[in-house]
Amino acid sequence: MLDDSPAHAEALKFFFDEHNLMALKVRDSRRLGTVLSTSICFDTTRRRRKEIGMAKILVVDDSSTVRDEVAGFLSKNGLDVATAIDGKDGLTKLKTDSNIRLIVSDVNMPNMDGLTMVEKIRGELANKTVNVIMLTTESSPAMKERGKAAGVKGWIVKPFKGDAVLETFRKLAG
Amino acid sequence: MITDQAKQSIADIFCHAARARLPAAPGDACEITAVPMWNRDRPAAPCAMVLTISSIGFRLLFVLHFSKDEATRAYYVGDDTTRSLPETLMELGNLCCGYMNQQLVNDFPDLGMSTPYELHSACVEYLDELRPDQVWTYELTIGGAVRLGVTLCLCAQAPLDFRAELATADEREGELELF
Repeated sequence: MLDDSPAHAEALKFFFDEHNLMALKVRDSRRLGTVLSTSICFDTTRRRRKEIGMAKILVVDDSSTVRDEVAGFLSKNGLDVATAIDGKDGLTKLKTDSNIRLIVSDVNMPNMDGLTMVEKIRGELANKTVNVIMLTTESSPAMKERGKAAGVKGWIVKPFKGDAVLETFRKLAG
Repeated sequence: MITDQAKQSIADIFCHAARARLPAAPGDACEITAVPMWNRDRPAAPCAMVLTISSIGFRLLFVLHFSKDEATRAYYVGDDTTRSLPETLMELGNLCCGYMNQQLVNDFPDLGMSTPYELHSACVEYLDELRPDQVWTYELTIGGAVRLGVTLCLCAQAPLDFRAELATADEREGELELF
């Protein structure tokens, strides 16, 4: 007769990613094929982790040097990143990618500047929940006020110092 | 009319900004020499990035002249074949102007900057068409090996007088100011 002490039981977890389901099968480790119990449940931890993983940061800058620097830093630190070359491109990317939760944008860009892009997001995409941080060489109070009025969440004066902002970016993108 | 102290302030702000932003690594030397205006006998380096700082009372055109030679490429780009030298220098020029902008905004809160763009240096011959009130020309040696040139061209729409209180770069630069 088998004794049912935990030492003889082993738990096997099976994940069904698309439905965030987890099957927990407990079997007797000494008898192959003897299943003691099976249960299926929602794996909320895994679902949450998956959701955070999917949250994306959009880096908008006309300078490829800045795009590479910022996007490279964020990617290296485990964040999912997309890039856009100006405000117009940023708006298009935001419309087509529902995972974007945070935008880090320059102000001065050709075709459409960063502040106009934010004003359009708040006007045309009012139902989108997205945080915006400006990353720019501009530091005039008038420009910051315009950003505030448009719903910009924060302002960084270049140069970009990733370590100083990484944790806040994570929270804003989460 | 631009007063002498305003001219001196702009020159001082530029030198401060160039030393802070144009070396690729902090601590690298940046020697700055004022030189006569470029001309056909003494041309600036062949490539140029241009950026404008504007207020209601004046426009300041910043032109950074550079060569795509081996010394410049090696210093600013190194072995990274994915990086473009003009793009890298345009961003450094942008940071240099941003630094000037941060110093000037104390006296001119309405300041704004353009985005940087690339031109051929021969275009500086036509700066006279802007009828500038003051032009400065500098040669810079960065890290002991790289030669750059800078032309500053100031057009005033109103009398200009201020005295810059030079400060080191804002200690909060690079930090996130949450609203």
